[in-house]
Amino acid sequence: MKFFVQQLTFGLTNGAIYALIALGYTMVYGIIELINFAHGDIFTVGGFFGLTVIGLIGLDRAPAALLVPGLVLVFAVAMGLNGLLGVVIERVAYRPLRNAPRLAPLITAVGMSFVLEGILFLIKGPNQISYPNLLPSGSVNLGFASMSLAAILIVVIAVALMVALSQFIRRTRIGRAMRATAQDRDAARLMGININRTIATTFFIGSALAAAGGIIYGFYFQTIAFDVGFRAGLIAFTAAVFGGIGNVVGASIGGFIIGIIIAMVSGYFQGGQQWSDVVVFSILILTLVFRPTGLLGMRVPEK
Amino acid sequence: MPLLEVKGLTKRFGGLVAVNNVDLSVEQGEIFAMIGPNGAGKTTLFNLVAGLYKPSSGQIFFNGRSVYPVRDFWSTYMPPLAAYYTVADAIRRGLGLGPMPLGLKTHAVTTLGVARTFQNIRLFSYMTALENVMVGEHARMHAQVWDALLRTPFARREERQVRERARELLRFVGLERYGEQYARNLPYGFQRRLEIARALATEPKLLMLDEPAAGFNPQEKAELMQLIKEIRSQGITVFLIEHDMKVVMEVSERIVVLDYGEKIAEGPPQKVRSDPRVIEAYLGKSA
Amino acid sequence: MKRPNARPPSRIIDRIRAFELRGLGAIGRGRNFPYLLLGIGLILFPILDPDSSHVNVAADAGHWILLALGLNIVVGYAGLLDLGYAAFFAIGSYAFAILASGQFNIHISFWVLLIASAFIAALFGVLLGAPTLRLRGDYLAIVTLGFGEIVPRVFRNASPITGGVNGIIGVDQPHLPPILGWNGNFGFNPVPYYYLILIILGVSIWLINNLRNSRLGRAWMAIREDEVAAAATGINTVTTKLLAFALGASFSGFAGTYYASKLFVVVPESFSFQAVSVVVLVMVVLGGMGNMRGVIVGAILIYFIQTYLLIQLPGWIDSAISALNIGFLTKLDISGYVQRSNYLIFGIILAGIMLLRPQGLIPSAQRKVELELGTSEEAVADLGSA
Repeated sequence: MKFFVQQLTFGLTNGAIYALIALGYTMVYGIIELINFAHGDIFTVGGFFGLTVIGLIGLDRAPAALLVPGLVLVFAVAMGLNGLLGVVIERVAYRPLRNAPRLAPLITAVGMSFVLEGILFLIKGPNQISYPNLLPSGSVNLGFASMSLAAILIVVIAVALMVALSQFIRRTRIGRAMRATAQDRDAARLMGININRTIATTFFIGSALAAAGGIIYGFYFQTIAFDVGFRAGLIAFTAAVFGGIGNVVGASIGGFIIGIIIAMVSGYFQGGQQWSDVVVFSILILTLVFRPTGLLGMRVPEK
Repeated sequence: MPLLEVKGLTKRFGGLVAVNNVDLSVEQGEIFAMIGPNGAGKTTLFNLVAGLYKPSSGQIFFNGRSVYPVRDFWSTYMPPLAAYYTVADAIRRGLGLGPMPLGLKTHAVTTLGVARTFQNIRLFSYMTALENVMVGEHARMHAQVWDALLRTPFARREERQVRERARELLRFVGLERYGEQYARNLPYGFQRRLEIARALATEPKLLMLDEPAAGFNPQEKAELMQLIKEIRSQGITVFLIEHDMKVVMEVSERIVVLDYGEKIAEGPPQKVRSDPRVIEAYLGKSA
Repeated sequence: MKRPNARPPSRIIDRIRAFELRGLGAIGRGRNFPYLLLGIGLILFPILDPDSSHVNVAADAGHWILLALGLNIVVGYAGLLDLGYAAFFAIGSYAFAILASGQFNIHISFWVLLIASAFIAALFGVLLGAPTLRLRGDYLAIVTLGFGEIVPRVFRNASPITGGVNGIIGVDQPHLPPILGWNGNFGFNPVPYYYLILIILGVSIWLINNLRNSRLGRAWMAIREDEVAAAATGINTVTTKLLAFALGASFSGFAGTYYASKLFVVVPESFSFQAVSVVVLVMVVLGGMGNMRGVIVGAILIYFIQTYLLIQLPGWIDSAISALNIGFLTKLDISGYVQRSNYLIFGIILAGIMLLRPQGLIPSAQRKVELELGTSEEAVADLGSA
C-alpha cells in the first residue's frame, strides 16, 4: 500500500508537469491545427529561465521568509519570458506559413525545436545541470501512508493554474475570442476579432504554462538538461490527444492519467521503466486509431 | 431500372438537417438537374452519393446495387463478408465504438462509375492539364507497384495508351492545346472544362456536375450545354446542380427541386417551372 | 467515351520517342553528357585517388544518399512527414546483424539479406502505416517520431537477441567470387564497398525515377495536392500512401544492411532521432523535396558539413585565433561553440528553408511553382466525413 501511494504520488507530480505542457499543445492545436513540435523545448527553456532567475536573485540561499515572494517572482518572470518566446516563435516561424501546404509549418516546427535545443546545447552543454529544490520538505501523514508535501504543493499549483486557465477561456473576452477563432476563423474575423493577436495570446499562455511545468520539473528532479523537453513533449502530447485534443480540461486530465500510468508501469513491472515509453506510445496509437477524439474532445484529428 | 436511386436519404450535421428524407432517381441516359435556393442541401446530396459523406439514414442504389448501406453490396458479392460485418459490429459495440462504417469509400464509388466535379473546382493545381486527366484514368489502369518500379513493357504500353487517351479527352473538351500548362495557370473557364475532362477519364456511367456554369458568360454557357449534350450522346448519364435557370431549362430533361433539404418538386422543366411551391421557394429567398 | 482503337498510333514516332526516353539518343546530344562524365569519374575515383580514407568517406556518404532518396519518396513525392525514418534503418541493420554474425551463429549470405531486409523493412512500414496513415499529417509525424524512438529502445532492451547496449559486434561481410585479381573478400577495405554502393545507388535512382513517372507517382502527386479530389478521382488514398511509406522504408532497410556490414558493428545509439532521422530530413528539405537531384546534392552537402566541416572547423578557428592573437577571442571558446552547434545548424536549415526557400536548393520545376506561389485557397467546404 505504501508503495502504491508512493507511485501514485510520483505519478501525480509527473502528471501535473505533463498536464501543464499538454495544455500548450492542446490550445495551439485547437486554434491553428498545428502540433507545435517546439513546445517540448519551450518547456525546457522555461525551466532554464527559472533557473537563471533563481540564480540571479540568489533564491537558493535566501532565508525562508523570502522564499514565497521569491518563488512568485521566479515563476512570474520565467513564465512571462517564456510566453514572449512562444509569441516570437509563432510570429517568426508559423505565421508566415499559415496558408502554406500542411507540410511546411510542420517542418518549420521541427526546425524550431532543434533551434531551441541547439541554443541550449550550445550555451549549457550536453550535461545535466543541477537545479535547486525549493519545495518544502516533509510529508503529510494520511494514516495508511504518507505523501510528500512537495508533491501536494505541485499538484495544487498545477490544478490552480488549470482552473485559472479554464475560467479565463470561459469567462473573459479574450478567452471567448480564442474559442471562436478555434471553431471558425473566418467567422471570428468577421466579428472583428483580431486573429493574429488571439493566436499570439494562445501561444503566450501555452508557453507560460510550460515554463511553470519546467520550473516544477527542475525542483522535483533537481536536474535539467537541454533535451529533457523531447521526451516530456512526446508524453505530454500523448496526454493531450488522450484527453481530447483541443480540449483544455481533457489535456489536464490526460496529463494526470498518463503520469499515473507511467508511474504504475515503471513501479510494478520488472524493468518497467524501459518499457514505459513503449506503453505511452501504444496509448497514442490506440487513441488515434480507435478514439481519435480522445476522452473529452470534440475535434476529430482526421481530415 | 434507374441508374441512381436514392431512398429516404437524410443527413444531419449535429442539430442541422441538411438533407431530409429525399427520394429521387436518375434514369440511364438522361440529363437530370437538381436546383434549389442556396443552402438547400444540393451539394450535400452530391457528397452523399459520391461517398464523401455518410448518410444519417436512407439508402443509395447505383445500377441496382446497394451502395449505402454497403454491407448489402458486399454481401451480394461475398456472403462470408456479411458474417464478417456482423462479428465486427459486435466487437465495435463492445468497445463502444458504434457500428462499422456502412458506406463505400469515395474512391470505390468512383470505381463503380460515379464521377463528380466540385463546386469550387478542385484540380491538382501544380500538375499539368494532361497530368490531371491522366490521374483521372488511375482507377482504370492496371499497372502495379512492380510495373512502376521496373518499367515493364506492360507499364510502358499502358502509359502510352493513357497519355493518348488523356489527349483525346482534352480534345473532347477543347483543351488540346493546353496539355502542358499547369492547371493553376489556366483561365477559369478552362479549369472547369479540365475538371470535366478529368472526371470523364474515370470512365463514369454517371457524371455529376456541381454548378458547372458558375461564373460563365453566355457564350461559355452555350458551349457548356453543347458539351453536356455531347457527353450524354456518348452514353453517360448527367446529373447536374445548377443555378442558372436558362441552362437548366434548356439542357435538362428532368428536374428535381430541393428546399431546406427537402424535395419540393420533380418533373420535366415546364412543369417544375410553373410549380407554385418552386416559385415561392425562390421568390421567398430572393428577398 | 470511345476508346481510341480506331486510329493506331504512328509506329515510327513511337519508336523514336521510346528511344529518346531511354536516354541513349540523348547522350550524343549533350544533355546527358555531364552525367556520363560524372559516372566515369565516379568509377575511376578509387583508382585515381590511392588514399583509401577518401574512398571510405565516399562509401559512407553513399548510404546517406540512399537514405535521403528513400525519405524523399515519403516526404517529397507523397508529402507525408516521417520523423522516424531511422527506425527502418535500424530494422534493416539489426535484421542483418542478427542473421549474419556470430550472435546466433547464423550466417545467411549478405546478398540474400540485402534484398530480404528491404522486404522486412517494408513489412514494418506497412504495419506502422496501416493504422496511422489515415491521420492528418501532424499526427503521422508525431506517431512516426514515437516509432523512431521506440524501435532503437526495443533493440537496446532486448539484450539476449540484440546484444543490448553494446549491440552486435562482428557482423558478417559480403563475399564475392574472385574477379580481376581481387580475392573477393570485402574485409575492411572500403573500395569494394564503394563500388557496391555505387551500383546500389545507380539501380535505386533508376527504380525511383520509374516510380515517379508512373501511375503510382502521379497518384502520390495528386494526393499531395488535394487528397479529397484525389479520392474523388478514384485513387485509394490509404493504399497509395501505404505504398509510399513501405517503399521508403524498404530503401531505408536496404541501406541498413549495407551500413551494418560495412561498419562491422551495430549499436542502438546510432539510430536515434537526432543521429539519423533529422539528419536525413534536413538533407531532403535542403536539397529540395520531391526532386532526386536536389536530394542527392543535399545529402552530400549535409554529410560533408557534419562529418568534415563541423569537425575540422573548431580546429581551424583555434589556429586562426591563436595566430591572430586577439585577446578576448581566445577566452570565448568559439571553437567549443562551433563544435556543439550541429543541432542549431540543422534547426536553422529546416526552419530557414521552409520560410525562405521552400523549394530547396535545387527544386523540381513543379515544386518551385507550388511552394513559391503558395497554395490556392483551401477548399471552402470542409468535406471531411461526419
